[in-house]
Amino acid sequence: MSTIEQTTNEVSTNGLSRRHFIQAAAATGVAIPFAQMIGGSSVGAAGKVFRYAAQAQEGPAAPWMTKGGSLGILNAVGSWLADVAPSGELVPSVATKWKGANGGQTWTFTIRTDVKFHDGSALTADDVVYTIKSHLDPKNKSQSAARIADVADCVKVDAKTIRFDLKKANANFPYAVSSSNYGLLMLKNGVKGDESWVAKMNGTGKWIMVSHKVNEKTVFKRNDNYFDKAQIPAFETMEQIQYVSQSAAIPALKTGKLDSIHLLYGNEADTLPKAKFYKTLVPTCGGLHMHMRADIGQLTDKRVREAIALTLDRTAYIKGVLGGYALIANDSVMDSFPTADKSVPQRNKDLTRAKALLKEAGVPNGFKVTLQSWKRDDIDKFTQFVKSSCKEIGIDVTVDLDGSDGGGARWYAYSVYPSVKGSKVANKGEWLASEFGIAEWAGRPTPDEYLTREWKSTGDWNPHYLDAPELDAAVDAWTSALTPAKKKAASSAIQKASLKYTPIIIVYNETRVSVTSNKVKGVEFNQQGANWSTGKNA
Amino acid sequence: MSDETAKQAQQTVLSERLAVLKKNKAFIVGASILGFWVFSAIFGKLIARYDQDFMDYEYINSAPSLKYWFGTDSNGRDVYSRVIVGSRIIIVISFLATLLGAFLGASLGLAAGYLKGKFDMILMRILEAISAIPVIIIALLAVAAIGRSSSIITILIIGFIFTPNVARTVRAAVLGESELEYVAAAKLRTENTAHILFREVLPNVLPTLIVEFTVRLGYAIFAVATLSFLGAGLEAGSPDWGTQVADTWSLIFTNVWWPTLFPSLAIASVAVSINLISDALLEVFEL
Repeated sequence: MSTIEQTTNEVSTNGLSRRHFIQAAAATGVAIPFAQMIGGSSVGAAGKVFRYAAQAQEGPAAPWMTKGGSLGILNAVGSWLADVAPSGELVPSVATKWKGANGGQTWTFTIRTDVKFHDGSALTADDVVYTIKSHLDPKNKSQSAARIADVADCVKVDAKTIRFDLKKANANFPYAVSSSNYGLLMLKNGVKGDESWVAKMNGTGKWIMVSHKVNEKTVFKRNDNYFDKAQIPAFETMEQIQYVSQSAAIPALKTGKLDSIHLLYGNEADTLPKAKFYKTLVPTCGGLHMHMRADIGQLTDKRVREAIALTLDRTAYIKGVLGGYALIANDSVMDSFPTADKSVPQRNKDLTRAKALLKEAGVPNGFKVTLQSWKRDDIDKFTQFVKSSCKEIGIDVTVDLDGSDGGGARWYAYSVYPSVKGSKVANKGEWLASEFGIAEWAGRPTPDEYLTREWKSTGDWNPHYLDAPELDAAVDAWTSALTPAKKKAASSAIQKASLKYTPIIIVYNETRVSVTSNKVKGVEFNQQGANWSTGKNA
Repeated sequence: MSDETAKQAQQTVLSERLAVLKKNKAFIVGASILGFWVFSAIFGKLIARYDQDFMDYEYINSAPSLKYWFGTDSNGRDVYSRVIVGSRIIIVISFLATLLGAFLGASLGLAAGYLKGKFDMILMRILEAISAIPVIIIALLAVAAIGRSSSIITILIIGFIFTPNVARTVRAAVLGESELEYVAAAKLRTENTAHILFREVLPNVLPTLIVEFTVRLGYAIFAVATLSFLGAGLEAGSPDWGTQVADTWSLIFTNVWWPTLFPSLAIASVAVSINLISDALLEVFEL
């Protein structure tokens, strides 16, 4: 039995212990970076209604159209083959077990037979196959498709078994069809996952949508027929209230109009009285990714990109502005995973070297450049950090943050989606068409999605348009690696290539901070921001 | 009366008015405050204690102290330096926007009050329709329609919005002036309309225009600050006062009040100073 089969057999056991799973995962290089770091205190008595502040939506909360801010809603009403728990573990959900074969190129999932949609109809294997195939159908323009692009076929073996045939081996495939790829929640056979789905949100999750007002409030009632009885919340009702700035939700929390704020600045959370509120901390591999176009504009020279990276005092920013609620990153998405090569030197502030690089690049006195993104608490602060830092080597950064629509819809317009290698897209002030921009990425249980969609030259969410065969090859090596040694080697290559070309600057990996009233217990979020609150004692 | 006699009479009136202004306490207070901010706008970089973008990571959200007189914001930037440097942006934009509004409004008001008839009626109805819409709504609609914001766009928008108010005031003054003998004399001399409007009538309605200008300038300060606060004004993170308030107001709920209070006080102080000057001018011009 290969390592991968051994591991997945262990995972498939319903009664798998967390320690057991972590050991198994580590053996195959499956990344569970923060498994031991769980928040979620549980004090006081749970109320009947749980009201929490979440971020604003960037688009409709529809399975095929997933964008930032829709996660909270889809996570409430939906369920997936597997779930990523707050611990970072991959745990059974609609699938009770899964198994890899053929060196990780074939995967079979055994599904439950007691799952029901909110309309009362039973979930079948056909529904699961339809869900996957609907995302793979190009005409549906699914935002989640790229993550499962390696699926050659998805077939129903019998009423309880689904088989995935992959184009190439992928040890981390179960994550690709888990809640971390949150658009892949179960759809009823034939039902469209586009904007029309939002009216009813007929999912199989533990919450049933009662009312939904975009970017204001979504009200859910508890699904007493949810298949995993242990996960049925104690709360009867849940209200998700959306804020563009989470800081603005503090008065509502203080006056008891909210029970919890998800994603608050750590140092703001620290100002709230401990006697009334408790913090939940979830270290993640997510954060702000600042891309620089390698094909057009002022940043095409990799020495200029490196110079910008060298102006940033990461340690000071994390300690000061972020109040220590983040881990230092080294301009690569691999840094926080156990497979990272820790011998790769950490990039630190070095103005002498930065100035020398600008001189070598022929712009010793700097230049003017516009940094674009959308208005959000962390982005507001980070852009000022970049502006202030770049000023030290003569680069005059103009900050242009779009807040016109109360969210990030304009920034994430996807008018040039998917990114096409070598397309020379003009700067349009959108994420995928901006010379110098920032996107916020939630945490992921493995780096695969970042690598294949954002970092690789052929990625559908490649905002930097860098075409570096060295980096692409390292990403390919990562996704196909089946042994820990190969994973580590691939990670090292990715880290080195990331520093060499610097298409994206990643200063920190954020620690997600939630603040909750002591009156409410059992409030948890996973590293991606999915709400796991049950209102029960943890 | 000869030209020289007229000139002397004008100088006498001017010096009398200046003397009255010098004795007017409201004017002195207003002019002192505004003078300070104009000085800051010109020499702000010299008065500021730190670069407006400098971030001190050891002093995040630090309360007012000897090191940082007005405290620091959530990026560790000196609030005092940003308030001082930010004065240039708001004062220059407000002044230019008011100047634009005064020029356009005065031109239209002169023409409407002098020409009267259908031209006056149609123009005034259009201006009244524009005036009926709240200033900020028009500004936000304009920013949304243009799709982006900048200093120049802010100046154009506010200048356009102020045009009807100035035009109505000037028109009312011109209606009275146009019946006076000196206008009839100019017509008899076959002077062209532009000459009559700008060389004969305008100097006589100038006191009205000056007072209207100061009133609008006060409104412009608020309008620029409000647009910035709503994120439809200037660059994100700019030391402009409205942007500072927008960037920091939520910190009040975490007991960090200083990054919001000081730029707010600055806005209020400029607006009050201009109103004091405006009141004093009203008195001096006996309007």
